[in-house]
Amino acid sequence: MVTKRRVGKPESYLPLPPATFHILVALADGELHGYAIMKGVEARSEGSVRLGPGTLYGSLKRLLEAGLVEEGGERADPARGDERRRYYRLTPLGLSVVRAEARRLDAMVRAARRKKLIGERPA
Amino acid sequence: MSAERIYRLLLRAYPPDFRAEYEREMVLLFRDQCRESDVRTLGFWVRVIWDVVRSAPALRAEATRTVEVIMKLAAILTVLLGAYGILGAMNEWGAASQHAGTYVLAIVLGVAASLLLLGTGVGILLQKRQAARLALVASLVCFVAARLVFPWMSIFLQLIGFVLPLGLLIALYWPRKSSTLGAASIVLVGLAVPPLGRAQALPIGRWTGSAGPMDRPAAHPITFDVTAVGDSLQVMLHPDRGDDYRLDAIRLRGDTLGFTLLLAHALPPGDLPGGAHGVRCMLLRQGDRSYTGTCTGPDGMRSDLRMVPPGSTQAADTVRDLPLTAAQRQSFVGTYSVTLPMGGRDVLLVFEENGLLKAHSSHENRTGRLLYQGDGAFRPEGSNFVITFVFDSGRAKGFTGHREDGVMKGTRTQ
Repeated sequence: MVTKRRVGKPESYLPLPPATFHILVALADGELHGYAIMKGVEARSEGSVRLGPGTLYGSLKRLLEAGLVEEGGERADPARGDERRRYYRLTPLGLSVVRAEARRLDAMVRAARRKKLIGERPA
Repeated sequence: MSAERIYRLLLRAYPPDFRAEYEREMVLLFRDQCRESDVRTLGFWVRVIWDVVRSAPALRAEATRTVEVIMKLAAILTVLLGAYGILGAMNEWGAASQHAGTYVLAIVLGVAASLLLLGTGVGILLQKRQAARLALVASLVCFVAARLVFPWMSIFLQLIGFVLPLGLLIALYWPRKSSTLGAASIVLVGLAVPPLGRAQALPIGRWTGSAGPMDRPAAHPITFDVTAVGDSLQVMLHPDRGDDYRLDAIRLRGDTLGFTLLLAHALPPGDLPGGAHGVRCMLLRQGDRSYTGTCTGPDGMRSDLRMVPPGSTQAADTVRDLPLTAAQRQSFVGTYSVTLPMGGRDVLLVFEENGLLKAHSSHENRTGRLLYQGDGAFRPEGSNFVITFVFDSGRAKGFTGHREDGVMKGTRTQ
């Protein structure tokens, strides 16, 4: 859970919960509304992570409070009708945090690979 | 029942604040899901319900925890400060011989304000926001009333008493939806508090009084100008001759008034301030609302000072109540055998009580204060005559009183 804390080094926010990381990664593409975030996460995780409305907006609420995400205004998405939707985008701090988390995960994956835990089929 | 209606019912599991902020967005997202899924399948509803079950309790716990922590702290603070304020008021009540009714009323109002503040906390926890707002407004009213009847309240207690409920009131009204009533209440309370803070226990206006060296009863008349400047009081002392002084570091606590005298005007560079500059005074409030006490200079020299508020029924220049030192008071304490004008006899017991000189008449079975008029003369409180003591070796040995019906004489027996 990302809790509100004093703005400090991006590393102080790590590790991120999986849902939070996926949301931040989705927002790295630019401003998105809730449904677009949900579909982006689902597609990127190849269906392994499915965020329901409660999980998504609960995470967004915490990310807004932590200053990692900000609202980008309300407007209609032409692809989804004329109802106005709230858009969200990464803050510079949010971008630093998601990069730091990606580096942390990358280091862990490389370590696992060196141990031959991934990257080749087990004997 | 439509799927959206069922989902709206499920959304009630979330905390009200969260729903107010995100319900519309969540319903929009749910509609999108409905368009792309078959709402008639069990799998769809299992996913929906699982999402609610997984996220709602956590959000509710977060919301409750935040409010709970704030309210616990506020409750502990309220109880501690309330207890501190009430104990302080009771302590001062015990020390003061007058104004018992005022102290009792202030304590009752303080207890009521504290209980209402605690009630506010319970109201917030139970999400009865309207009840909490009413309790807050009522606590503010009680506190304002307590401040008005008990003007000796400490600045610290006043800050907490006004700022804590006002802050909670703003937090409760903080508009997610605009509220004219809420905004008007906050503005009204905000406007009402600063003037109340300025209202001081020292009446504004021209005070009279007297000052003189301790060992010499002769006192010089002086005046004080008490004015409100911004949020604070300014008190200027004008002696009948010499420089004016400004009262600095004024501290009013219980029946005690303390301050330091500073020269009112700046001195040329190199000049050292003299006179009463730097003198520290400590006065005690008297029954007639005047203040009497002593001042001590940087060199240890002590003098008497008396301040009489404007509109006092006992003007300083008509019936005096000059201060006496403990040593001076002791020189009069004793038992006197009195011969009354018509030849009757009385025994007068002169004694000291709470720093005041009093006399008890056996003949009239009455006790009253002796008001010092200077030069060894006293006016028994409520009487229209004066008794003048004669001294032997620094101790009163007897007195003479000129009453309307003749002369009375007293001789010390003890």
